[in-house]
Amino acid sequence: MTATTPPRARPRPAPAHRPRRPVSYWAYLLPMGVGFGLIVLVPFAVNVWYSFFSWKGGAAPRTWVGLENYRELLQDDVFWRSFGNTLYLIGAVAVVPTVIGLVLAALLFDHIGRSFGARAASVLRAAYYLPQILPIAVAGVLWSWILETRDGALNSVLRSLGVTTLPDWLGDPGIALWSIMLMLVWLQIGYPVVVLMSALQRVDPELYEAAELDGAGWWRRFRAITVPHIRTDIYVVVLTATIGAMKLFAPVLILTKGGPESSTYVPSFFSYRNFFELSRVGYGAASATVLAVVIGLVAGGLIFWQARSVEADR
Amino acid sequence: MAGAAVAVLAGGALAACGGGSGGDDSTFTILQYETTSTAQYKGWQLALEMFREAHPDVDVEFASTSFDSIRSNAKILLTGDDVPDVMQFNTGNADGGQLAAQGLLDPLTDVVEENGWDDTITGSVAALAKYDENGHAGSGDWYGVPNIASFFTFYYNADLLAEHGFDAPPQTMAELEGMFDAFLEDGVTPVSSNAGEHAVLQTWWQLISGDADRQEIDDFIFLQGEPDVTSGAFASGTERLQEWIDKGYLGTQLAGIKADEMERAFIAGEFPFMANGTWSFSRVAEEADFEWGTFTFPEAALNAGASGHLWGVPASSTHKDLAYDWIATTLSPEVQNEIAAQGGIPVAGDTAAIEDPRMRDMNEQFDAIKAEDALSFYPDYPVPGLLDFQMSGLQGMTNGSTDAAGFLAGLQDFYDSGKDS
Repeated sequence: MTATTPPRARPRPAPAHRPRRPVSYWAYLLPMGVGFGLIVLVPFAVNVWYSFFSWKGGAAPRTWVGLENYRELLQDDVFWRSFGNTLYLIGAVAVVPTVIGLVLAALLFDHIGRSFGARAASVLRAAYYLPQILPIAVAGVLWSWILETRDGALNSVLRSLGVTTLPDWLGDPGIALWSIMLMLVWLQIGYPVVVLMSALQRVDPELYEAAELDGAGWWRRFRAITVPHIRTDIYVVVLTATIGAMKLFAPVLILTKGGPESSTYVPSFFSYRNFFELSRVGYGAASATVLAVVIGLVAGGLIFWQARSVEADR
Repeated sequence: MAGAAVAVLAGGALAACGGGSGGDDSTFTILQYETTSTAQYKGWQLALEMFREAHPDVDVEFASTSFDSIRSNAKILLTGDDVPDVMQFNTGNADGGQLAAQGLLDPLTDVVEENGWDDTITGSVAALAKYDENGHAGSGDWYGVPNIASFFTFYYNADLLAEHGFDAPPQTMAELEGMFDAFLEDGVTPVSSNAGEHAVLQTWWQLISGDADRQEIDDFIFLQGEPDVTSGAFASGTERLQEWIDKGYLGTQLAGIKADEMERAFIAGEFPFMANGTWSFSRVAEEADFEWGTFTFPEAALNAGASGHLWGVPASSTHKDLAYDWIATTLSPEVQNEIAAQGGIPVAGDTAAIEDPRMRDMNEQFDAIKAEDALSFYPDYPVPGLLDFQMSGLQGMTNGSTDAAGFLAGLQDFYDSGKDS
């Protein structure tokens, strides 16, 4: 996941007599438009088109079935359960890491940074960010070792602490999703730390000094100065992480392949299985379309909410 | 524009998975996915040498990819412009059957008959090489040619058996279960297994196969008639597995264990038995430092197992004659015996020529199964998605969240709906 520049607040309504844009203005947008069309719009349209067919892929015959795939999808328990699991993953990718990351960023910035120097703070920041650099396949295999039932690192530690009934981290359908979430929190935490620390540098230090002189403690300053000033950045972190959580795929593929007992299915894995393993290309396309629309709606909703609250602050 | 985008995507996928497969017209490309440590891969290095010698003017490219990438991408690969001339593919209706039915692979019946391969590769060893126009295995044209076979078996730790007072592997099912009970009494879990991957699944299928007759299995695998999986051998085998799970023969918390962990535990000498396919043979042979051997499930009517991955010729291959010659080279006595020497089970090898006693023993077990036409294949072949369904159901059985009857009822529904679609 890459950090993006915070979107600006919604522009004020344009003045009544806005001059027409010259042709050259649009020409600059053309490369972007072509790229967007080729990489996003066309494949999306093709995907929607496929979703109206019953098709095994390749050179197999394609049969028009209209909305039948969508009708079936509405009744597919596994599909809906996979959306339910996404809510948990949003917790593990967007909510928990952002909260922890916010506190960590503030601590690093004005506690560690001041008491131990900027270098100590940036070393720690890099350490938190390290899991983000690790290829997801490597991180996944690493965690499958940690979470192994019999001789995994986690259970070995628990055993040495005297725990006798050791959890079956990836094998118990009641726990497996939580195990994946644990890995995701670890994986994700560096992202908000890095983004929010850079946001904190924008806050005027005089505000803190003034508040300190007035006797405000760290928590008070954190709540009254830090959080309101970097609210836009927090929105961006939450928005990108939420989208990331909704299309999450690799950790599930590597750690559990949707199991045990289909308890860790997520929508993108559902699509993948239908496309490639079950040769149900039309059905897989339908599920991918639904996922894309849901992500679009959620992202749109978050952007709207952010824009409104920024507007309200003015 | 859509076509361009798809071509770009497909090109990217090929470059990523094929390691630069295909090439210009003067290059003959072989695409395979066995890992370098396997007996086939080692045997094929000899085949490659022989093939290059026989065709000095041909530029041969031996490209490797992974099993999963072929399973996922074969359709995209074979519909592209840059196809291999001969390639390996997975058996079964969900994989090879789809490729055959979609016209992406050439029928090979004439070639097979000309070369007389159907004299050595017969019965249940040949069944999965043939597909009908719907992509269903068991009849129709030959679309692939197997090199090796595999079957499900028991590995035993002779030292550990001796320690607990047993001097030979069991001859009957009652003896086997008696030994399991004795080990449990001594506080030792008898069988190293896993449900995170496929060992419990294969054990289940073997217990069914042990009670089944040819017809029952063929009906289920080849989608004939109206198989009822809630009765007969399916019911008795599944109930026996339930019993094994309940008694603790296979251990606990199986769903979180994968094949690697299971093999390591057996090799570390923690379990007297491991039930797994012959594909574990090489690793056990290399790593175990105790006396060990293999034996097939006692008193079993049929034995889980099948001919291995197949060589096929893509419909748009540009060097079909060379492709046939490559397949013939891999089936030559030299290559087949080399595969056996490397710990594999060749479909047309000479068992008497194998020097290592354990390898010879395993090949003799296979010869016996082959002679009785007793291979019962693997349980996920009939309909797409069955593997995940069965794995999930058996994980449920090992976790106690479902029982034999519940699992089989669900299986019947899944099978029937998959069969009709």
